Amino acid sequence: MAGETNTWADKKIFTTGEAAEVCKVSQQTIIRCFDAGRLGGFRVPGSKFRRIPREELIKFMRANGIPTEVLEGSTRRVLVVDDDPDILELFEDLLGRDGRFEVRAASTGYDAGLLTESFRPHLIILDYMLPDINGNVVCERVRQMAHTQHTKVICVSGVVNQAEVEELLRSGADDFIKKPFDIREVVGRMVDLLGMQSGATDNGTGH
Amino acid sequence: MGSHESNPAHQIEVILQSVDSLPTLTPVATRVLNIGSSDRADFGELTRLIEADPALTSRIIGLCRRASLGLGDRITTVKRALVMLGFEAVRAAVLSVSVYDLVSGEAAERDARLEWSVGGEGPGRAFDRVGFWMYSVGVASAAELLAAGNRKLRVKPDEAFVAGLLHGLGKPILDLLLPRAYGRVVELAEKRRADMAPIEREIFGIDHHAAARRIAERWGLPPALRDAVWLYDHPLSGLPEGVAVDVVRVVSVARTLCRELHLGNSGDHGPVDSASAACEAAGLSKKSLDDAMRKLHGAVSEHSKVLGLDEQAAPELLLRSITAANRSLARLSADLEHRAHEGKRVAEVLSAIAEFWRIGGGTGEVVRTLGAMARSAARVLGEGRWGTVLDRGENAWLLCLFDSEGGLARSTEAHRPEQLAGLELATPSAWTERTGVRSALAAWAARELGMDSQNAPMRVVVACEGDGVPGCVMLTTAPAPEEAPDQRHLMPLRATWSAALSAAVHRRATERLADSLADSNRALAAAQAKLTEAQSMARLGEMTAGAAHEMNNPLTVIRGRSQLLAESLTDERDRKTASAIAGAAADLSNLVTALHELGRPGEAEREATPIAEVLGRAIGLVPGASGVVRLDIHGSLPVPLMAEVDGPRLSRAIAELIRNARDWAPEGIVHARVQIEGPDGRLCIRIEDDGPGLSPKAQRHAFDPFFSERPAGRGRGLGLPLAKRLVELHGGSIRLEAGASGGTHAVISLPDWRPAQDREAGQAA
Repeated sequence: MAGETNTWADKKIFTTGEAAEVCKVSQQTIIRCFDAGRLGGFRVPGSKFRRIPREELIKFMRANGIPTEVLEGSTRRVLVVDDDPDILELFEDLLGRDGRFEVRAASTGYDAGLLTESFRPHLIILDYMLPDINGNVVCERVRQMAHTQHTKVICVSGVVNQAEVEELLRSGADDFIKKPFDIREVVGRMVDLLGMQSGATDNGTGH
Repeated sequence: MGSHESNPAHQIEVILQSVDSLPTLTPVATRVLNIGSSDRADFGELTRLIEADPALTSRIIGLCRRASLGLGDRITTVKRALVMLGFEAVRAAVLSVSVYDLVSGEAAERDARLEWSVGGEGPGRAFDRVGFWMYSVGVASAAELLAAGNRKLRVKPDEAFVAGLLHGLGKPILDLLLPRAYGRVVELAEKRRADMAPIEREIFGIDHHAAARRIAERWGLPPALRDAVWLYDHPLSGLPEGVAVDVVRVVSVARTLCRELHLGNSGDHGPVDSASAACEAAGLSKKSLDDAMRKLHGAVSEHSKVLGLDEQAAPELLLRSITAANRSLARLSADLEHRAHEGKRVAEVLSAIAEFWRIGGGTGEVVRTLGAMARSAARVLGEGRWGTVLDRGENAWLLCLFDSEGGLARSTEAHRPEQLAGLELATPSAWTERTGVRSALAAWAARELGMDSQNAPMRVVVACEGDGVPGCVMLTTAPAPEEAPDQRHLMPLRATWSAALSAAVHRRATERLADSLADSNRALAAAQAKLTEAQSMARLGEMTAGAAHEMNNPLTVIRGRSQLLAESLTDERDRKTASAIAGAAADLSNLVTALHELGRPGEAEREATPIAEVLGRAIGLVPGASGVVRLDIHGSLPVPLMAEVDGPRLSRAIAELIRNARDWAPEGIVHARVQIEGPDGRLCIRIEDDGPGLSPKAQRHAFDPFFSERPAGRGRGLGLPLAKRLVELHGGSIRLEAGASGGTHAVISLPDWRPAQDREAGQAA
């Protein structure tokens, strides 16, 4: 994939010039917004150079309707949470072969919380029945925290009770998929939710 | 002296205790009894004791004179009597006088007390004390004469005299202790023509033999005397060993003689042997009997005078005996006549009982039994129409009218009328004496039965009585026959009626009970079946919920892995195999889901829904159905027809029926008809196919989970059971019928389907 976008994806602190490039506006505009307080940041101690942290830049871009894709890089980070190691392995295999996703796995709600902080996934595939806390609680936490509230959540479950499914959707899940699922349907829903171009890099059929 | 069963031992004990409380003999008598006959040293003392009582002295000298006719007037003092007649004769005289005085003295005193306390209103019939003592003196005299005429017997005349005088001692003693009850004994003995002893045993538990024996022991009377009072009535052949047999013999024959001659009044009325037969049986000489008969009246007259009993001379005594004999004869003949009448009435009642059974009194049918009762009542209580009133419990009365042959003329059920509130037919003793109640009952029953009670008096007869016997009375206007049986005669007939009627009533109640038992058994079995089904469904729900979670994870891995495998395989056949594995995993998961739905279909959420919408959605649920299902909502129904149902669940149920119809007739057309049927206006949704129809077995088991007649394949056998569950959630039912022109018709029927506002409008209209 393109090295250029990868730089942006890993960068934590942006200069006004870099920010202008990411946002595809002039440096003057960035400086004006910075000075007016609409774009958060700090000055380098002992100089007048302005510096903008990644979170502030994203906030600014979202507030002004500027696409953030360029910051994200081309691969999407996916966290799979399930207490069944076979299921985790299946997802790692499936999404790893696909190539468009970077996958991490967690088998408890606690691990899921830690990884959500450090891995900052774009999408969480969340089993409802976890050994420590139920999926709907994880889902609510994710929705409550500012930096994760835009993270997509797909709940999966073997439950057959329609009432439980509705409760999951109420607690903030974006979609629900019943186990045992069709893997193609799962990938399709993920692509839809993440706004990716469907089938753009679909090379998974053995070429 | 066997005690009667109905008289508790306690009563006997009380009587014996009163016997014991009687005064003892005078000191003179006690002393006389204790002096041995050879103990001449004490004769002086004895003489002094007797002479201390001048009245006693004169009577003893009188008795002694009488006992030794030959010696005439030469016996003038006690001492002389002792010398000339011997100790035994004087002792006999002292005993006779003492005992007689004691018993009659006590009796006179008691009479004075009774008169005082009761105001002269004595017992209905009293023990004839004078007559009894007259008889006793007769027996004593006869015994004395018999003993004198049979010297070979081991009994001296004076001994025989005392034994004869005192042999019936128990009678005045019982009379003394229990005057009123003894009056009853006297009455019954006369009425039944029986001896007193068996009646005493019946009433007191003991007889006068036992009472007399007790007192003889207490007073220390000589053994021969004790045996005489105890055993005089005993058959001579069976006397216990060691008793003074000769004394008993003499007394027994003397008794018979006096009763034959009607001398005095023994109080016994049982049959009497002839004296000569008794004499022969006892082995006494015929001559002695003749001799005794000749001298008896004279002897009695003299002895009576001495005892202060009677002043009658011998000829008068004879006359009195004859009069007594005549009286007795007259009584006997009156009694015989009375018995003849009694016998006739008893025979009538018995033949009425026989007829009662003959004409069906024992069939166990209530009305037939009542008819037989009416017929038998007509026979003994007056020919004519008879009505019956039977208490069936809970104030419900059955009234029947029968013709004189016992045929049912009319019957009606009625509740006890207000004017008879509180009247219980089963306890007639509470109201039969109240003429007002009786006539109110008669008037009411006559009106109910249409009997004419204006021109003839209505008679009310209590038909049944007793514990657990249904209350029943009978009524008639027929005149009573001249010699109608009284209550006593009717007792056997009434007992017969009571038994037969209670058997009939109870049989009917038992039959009713058995019917309702069978009904509730059926209901119970149905409820149990429902409960079992509900329980097994609930368990299925629980189980499948757990199973779903446990199974779906491995199924996810199988399905996902086989899909990935299929994608990586290049060989077309291998790829298909892997895909089949994925498909099977999905099927298995759907099966678990379907089972769970069957167990826990949830609650119906009903709201007014257009029925066409429900059917449309159902067709949409079955792939390929839209082209072949013809919808037919009956023309006369309002458009759009609204039903208060859980739309999605009802659609699901209909979809399962359509799916089945498609399976049964894959090439045909499926009709879906909606109609209103039956008197309750139920909504029927019929799904009809034109396939080959169902086998009887399939029709029976179509709603059992996993039943399928199709060979193993796609059919899971859960569609129809699920449809049934979903329809039942609506309070409806589902059934399969064979179509008139072949094919299978599945019918959903919903009795409770009208939307709330429609129901209200319907009620207002």
